[in-house]
Amino acid sequence: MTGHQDHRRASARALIATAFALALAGAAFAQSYTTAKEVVDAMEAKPAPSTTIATMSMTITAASGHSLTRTMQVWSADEGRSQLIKFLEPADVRGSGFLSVEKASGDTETMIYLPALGRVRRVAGGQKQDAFFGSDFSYEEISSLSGDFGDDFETTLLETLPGPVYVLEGIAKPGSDGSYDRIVFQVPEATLLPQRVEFYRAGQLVKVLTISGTSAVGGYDLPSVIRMETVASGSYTTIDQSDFKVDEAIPADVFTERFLQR
Amino acid sequence: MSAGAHGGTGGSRTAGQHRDAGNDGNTGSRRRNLTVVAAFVVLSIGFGLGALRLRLDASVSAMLPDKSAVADLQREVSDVFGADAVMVALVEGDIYTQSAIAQLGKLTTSLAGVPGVNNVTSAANAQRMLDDDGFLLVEDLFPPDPTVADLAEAREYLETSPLYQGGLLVAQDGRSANVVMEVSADVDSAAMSNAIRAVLDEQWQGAGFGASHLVGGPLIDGEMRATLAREMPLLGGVAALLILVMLYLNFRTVRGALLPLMTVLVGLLWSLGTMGWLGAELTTLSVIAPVAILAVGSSFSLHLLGRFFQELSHGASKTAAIATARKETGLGVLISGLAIAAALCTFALSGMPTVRSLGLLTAGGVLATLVASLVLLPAVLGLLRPPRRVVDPEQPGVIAGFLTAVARFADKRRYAILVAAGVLLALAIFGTTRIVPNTAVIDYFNANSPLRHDYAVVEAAFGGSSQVEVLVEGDMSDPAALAAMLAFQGRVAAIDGVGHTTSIATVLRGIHHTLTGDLALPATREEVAQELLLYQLSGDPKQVSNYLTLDSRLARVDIATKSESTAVMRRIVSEIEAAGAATIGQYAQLGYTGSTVLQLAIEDALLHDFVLSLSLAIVLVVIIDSFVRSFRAAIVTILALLLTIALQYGMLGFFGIPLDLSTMLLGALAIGVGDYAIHLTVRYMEERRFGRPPEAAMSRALHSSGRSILFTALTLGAGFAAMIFSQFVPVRTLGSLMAFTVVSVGTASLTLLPAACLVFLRDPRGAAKAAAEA
Repeated sequence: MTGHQDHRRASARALIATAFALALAGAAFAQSYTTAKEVVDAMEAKPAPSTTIATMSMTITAASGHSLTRTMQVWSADEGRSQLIKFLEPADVRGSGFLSVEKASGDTETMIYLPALGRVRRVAGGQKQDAFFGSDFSYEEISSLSGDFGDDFETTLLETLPGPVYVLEGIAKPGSDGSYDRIVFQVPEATLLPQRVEFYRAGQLVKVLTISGTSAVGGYDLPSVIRMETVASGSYTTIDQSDFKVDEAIPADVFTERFLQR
Repeated sequence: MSAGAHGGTGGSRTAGQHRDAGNDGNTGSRRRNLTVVAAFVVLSIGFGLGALRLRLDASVSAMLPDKSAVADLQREVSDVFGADAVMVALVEGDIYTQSAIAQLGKLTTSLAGVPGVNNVTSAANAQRMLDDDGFLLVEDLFPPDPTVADLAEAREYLETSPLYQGGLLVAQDGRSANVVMEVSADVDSAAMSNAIRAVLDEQWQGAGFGASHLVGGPLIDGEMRATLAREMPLLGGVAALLILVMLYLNFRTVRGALLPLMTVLVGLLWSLGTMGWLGAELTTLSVIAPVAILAVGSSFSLHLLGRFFQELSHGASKTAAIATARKETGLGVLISGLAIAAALCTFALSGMPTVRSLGLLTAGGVLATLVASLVLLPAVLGLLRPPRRVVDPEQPGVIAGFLTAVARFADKRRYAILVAAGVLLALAIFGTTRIVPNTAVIDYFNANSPLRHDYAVVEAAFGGSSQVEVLVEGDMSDPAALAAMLAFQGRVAAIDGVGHTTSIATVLRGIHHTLTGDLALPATREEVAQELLLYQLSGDPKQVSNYLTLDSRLARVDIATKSESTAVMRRIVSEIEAAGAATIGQYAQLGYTGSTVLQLAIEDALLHDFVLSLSLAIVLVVIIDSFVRSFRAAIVTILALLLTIALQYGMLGFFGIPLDLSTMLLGALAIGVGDYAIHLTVRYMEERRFGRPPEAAMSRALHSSGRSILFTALTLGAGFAAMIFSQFVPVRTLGSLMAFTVVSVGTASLTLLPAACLVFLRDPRGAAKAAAEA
């Protein structure tokens, strides 16, 4: 066989393979939503648990490789408006607690209990943009893990990737008090949970959020493996959530100063 | 043997006496000469294009030794704690006023927007942490539109808080404030420094407040780069002009002045072009290279042209004069050129890239100039018509009279000269014992320069502008280790020349003070961990991560030190290390780095290079000089050089000139530059081969080569003297000392060397044989 014949046969094989791939891709592109609004509405329409109890393991890793892992028990109710965190590990912070309750007035009361100091302190000055316990997440981002971007951003559908995975762009609405002026996020239709979110400020990519694992619990898809990377510093934080309990009645006294000290 | 070489004294001759010389060259030799010239032109254009690609790296980090534990530790500190470089601006004015605090806020915001500035801390954006009856408040130190009471409260906090006390942000008298900037080491330091200055001018002085003063490593980088960019063409131009004048005075012809510069231009282009094509960068020290190549390289042509004109004046044809110059004087030129290049190549063994770069750049330039002198110059001379008028070096005149007197003096007083040289050598060696090293970067600048003034002002208020960083590796969640760290800082603060010290212990004490009212550290591991947790929640997490890793295994103590001489720095670092060993050293492993320690590492590397390059250069020059077919002649020749080098370093000791970056390089540079003494030895041996007795041989050698040596000394001296105009202290010192060196080598070559030859080299190898053959 000549080299020329070889080449022609290889070209024919490539053409067939490409056609087959395109056919498969076409099948996979069968999408349910055609606009950003439809995607966002679908995300928001997804049922969410009324309460969540989970074990959270948070590992903060600096660019130098030094890291710190803390394990916490988290109680959350009212779509995250009431939240209690109790530190389980490491031993030197065991028993420490953090309580955050949004009042009817819209103000958030924040308290911390440190057993070594033996008293509860109310904390002021913590802003939504502040780092959550020195991690790469801010309070704002921790509360948006389920992809609740709709209120602060005007969204447009940029493209649809095989899957289908919707790529949306959110531009901060005028008057928004968020930290970022632009986000780009990818939402697989299968979960309607963002799998990757890029946060931009003044045209610069600031952080990248990746959700690489979800847990199906009680009919809900909950993010279980989450990573946030701060681009400039090279640091990142990973959160592993497990032992989910959803829609369990959490006694009202859990979100109190007394329970915090218990 | 050429007809003219021993044809007695001549005088000025007209071109008519050797017009036939113009027709000497047949078509073949003319074509050969044209080919040579064309090849040099093409190669020089090619290298010249490479030279256009050259870039300058004037950063202080470019000066760091590349195999240094201190530099490695600095990189680790930078990687782990993000502490690249710090710049401090001190702004003068009545700070505790509403308008000044508002303006300081604007200034802080504007500075944070400068590209390369990562973080800015000033009183205007500082926070305070208060425990208000169980309510933990973390708020701005100064509220918007502060009242008089707010200002007084903030002042009290700044003066008493463990985090800020001691004038860290505002001077105790309230008359100045510090703005501390963490900056990236990767940006263009000159552009960043200029942008910061512009903001200071606009947002402080321009707003009607007082003066501002800026200090920091990147500022020095920028200043050095700007000065170098300004000085390189200036110094080169002045050196070229001075050399041109000396060459003209020697040959009294335009071509005699221009041809040596042509060969040097070739050397410069080839050397710089090679660097450019290889992607190498020029550094601070590179400014020396073009001047050194210019000065040294022109001496090759000076000797060759001297011989060429001498042969012409004695009636030789142009072709014969070129051949004799290349054959007889060319040997000395070749040997001295190789010796100089070899001596400069010893810098290639340096642990510092900048010194290696200087050595190879200069050696390459010298070698290229040597090739141009031995190949291009004869070709150009072959193409040019012979000059209408040539000066015979041996013709009666002032210089000839002087050389006759010198020859007589060396003959009659040979032992006295040797004894005087011995006495001078002893004195010089005594002087070397008084040398004090000092390679402090700040001392590169004039004592009355604005930069030095700014440093003095900032250091008086801030306590120091240089840094010692202590990397502490251990269990830093142990309260005992933290207490030891605080004790270490206490001891260090008492050392003369040390300013503020900051560490995780300082931060924790501040948190604990706020939470409990006790000015102490947390007492248990749990308290340590939980107070840090609280601070991460409500304070600035960066204030923790700047000093402690997440796993609490590595900590950093930041110590501000004054920018003093390296001798003082050495004392400070030594005392800091002793304090560390006695305190925190019992709990953790300590490593020391920071700009202060890095400067000492540079000095240690330079001292190593100094000893290595000087001793190796001496050995290499002796070996290469032995190519004159006599090891004894090489040893005798280098005596003049050794005396000169001893005198150089003796002068440093007697005049209190520090052993610094440039003076350490002086020895090896001088031994190469000063090797033109070999020309006298070569000529003396040539005369001895023709059977002349030693005294007559030396007299003739002095009359011919002596003139070239005299003008080489003047030419080289003039070239290096151009460096005296530099704004850089080390470059200026090098220039003046090199000028002294070449003049003293010249003096030694015309006195000590003849005397030594007449005593120790009366019968050089080959003289007897040559005489027998004759």
